Amino acid sequence: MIILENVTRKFGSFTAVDHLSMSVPKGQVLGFLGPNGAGKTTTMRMISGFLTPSSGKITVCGYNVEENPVEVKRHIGYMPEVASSYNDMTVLSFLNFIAEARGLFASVKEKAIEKVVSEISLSNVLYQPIETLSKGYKRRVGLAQALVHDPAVLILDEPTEGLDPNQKHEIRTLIRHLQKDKAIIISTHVLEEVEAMCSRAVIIDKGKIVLDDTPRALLNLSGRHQIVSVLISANHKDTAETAFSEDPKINIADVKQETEQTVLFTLYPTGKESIAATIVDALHQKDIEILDLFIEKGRLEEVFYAYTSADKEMKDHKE
Amino acid sequence: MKALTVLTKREFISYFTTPVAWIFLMIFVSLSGLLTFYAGDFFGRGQADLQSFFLFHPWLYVFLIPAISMRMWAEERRSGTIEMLMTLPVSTTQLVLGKFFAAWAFVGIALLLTLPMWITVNYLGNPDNGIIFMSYLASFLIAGTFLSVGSCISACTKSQVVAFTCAMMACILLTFLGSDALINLFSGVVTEKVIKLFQSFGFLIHFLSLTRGVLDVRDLLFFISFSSVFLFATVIVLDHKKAV
Repeated sequence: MIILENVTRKFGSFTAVDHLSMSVPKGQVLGFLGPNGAGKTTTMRMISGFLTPSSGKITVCGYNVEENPVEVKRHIGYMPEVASSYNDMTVLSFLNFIAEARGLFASVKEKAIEKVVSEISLSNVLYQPIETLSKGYKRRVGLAQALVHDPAVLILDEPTEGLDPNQKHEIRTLIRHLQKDKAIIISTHVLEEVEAMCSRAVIIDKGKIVLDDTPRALLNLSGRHQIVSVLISANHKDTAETAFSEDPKINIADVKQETEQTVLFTLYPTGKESIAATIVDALHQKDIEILDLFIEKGRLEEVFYAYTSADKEMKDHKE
Repeated sequence: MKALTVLTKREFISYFTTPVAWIFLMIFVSLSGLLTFYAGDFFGRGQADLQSFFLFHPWLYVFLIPAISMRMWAEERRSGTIEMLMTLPVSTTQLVLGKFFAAWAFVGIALLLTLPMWITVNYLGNPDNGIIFMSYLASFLIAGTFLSVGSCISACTKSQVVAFTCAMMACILLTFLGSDALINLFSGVVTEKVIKLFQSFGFLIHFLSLTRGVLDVRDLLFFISFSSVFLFATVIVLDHKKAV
């Protein structure tokens, strides 16, 4: 539904997006990651028709963005990074304006607004001027504005920025819900969000794609993936230690006295397979009670830093 | 067309949600009245007409129109709403026209509020109502032309203050073009033809010719084409300077 071919955007001599190509089919939620200034917002602005590419071609729902901008905009719901709305309007009159500007009138418009208001839980603030709303509500109004015409393509620039955990959860649930008949691009800094919402993750840096894979595959690239921490009683410390060191699949990374009664083992696998079950079995055989056990899923942050330049420079510096 | 109506309606209503609108209306009505009676010597002239009323309109507009037009695009740009506005499925031309018509209609309201002046002269004597109607039209046209210039300048900047100051300078210049003071200044320097050219662009000259009740199509065309040029320029500026 969204196709970018060799898209470049320059601001003067600065190249914000550099020969970027990708395509997003229907039903896909693409998490767009990258450090500040990597070109995420510029790319999204180009897809939504706010900026024109310096070269290259963008096609949305079969329409070329440059040749047919109005038609493209009709099919896109776009939530800008600074989702500012007209502060002096009430939420309802603002949504009315957006719906009408998008060609929805009368009962169709009312139904569309009703739907989006309940989806994003805005009913409490419908008659409040936007300037009196909290940051979270303002973001939600920005999201409502992007959804009111039920677009086939959604472009959301950091939709959960500034929301509290509950609100974030709501938005994530909503996006998962919307996913099946839309192509969605979400930019974010919060990497757990990519895991939670996206079916594909793209990391860009300096206007170029540096990584394009599933969130799970990204996780596997992380060094901390599959690390298991297990908490047991301090009395069994030595027994457990021998049990672990005897098992060829398990390596001990760290043993730490947590409190006077407990001790925490940090273990990592020799191969790629999960070792949680092996650990449980090993402890079970020795009749050691497991007080707590958790598996590290790896952090997208680590992958992210490893693939983007700021950290590379730091590494070079260290070496 | 429907989109244009929607955009114009929103803009028009938005004027009344800010104090700017009410201050503008108050100042316009009271100043135009005061100038007529004091500076224009309405009673002393002993004539039942509104010449002394309309005479000051261009000078009021020079200050007041930039106060309206400064918001148009500079504010959208500063607050970032321009991004949302320009990703709506409407053309830039529709956006520019929407804002322009809303502002123009707003000035129209200000003019309507001065109708008691018209009623007053009719009560006091027998004025030529045709001339007064033409003068209202001329006043409305010159306001529209100033607005188009202001719209273009507002599209160039993020700062309302810059937009206001530059628009005011532009309006003063356009009004003065073709005035005696400017002609005298340049009379030795440039040829007769250049002076004629200056005069043909002088707003005051076209305005005064209309307020005398002479319906010259050239005067109408002048204001309409002048506005169109600046509105078109606004579209171009916006398309090229959206994000910056």
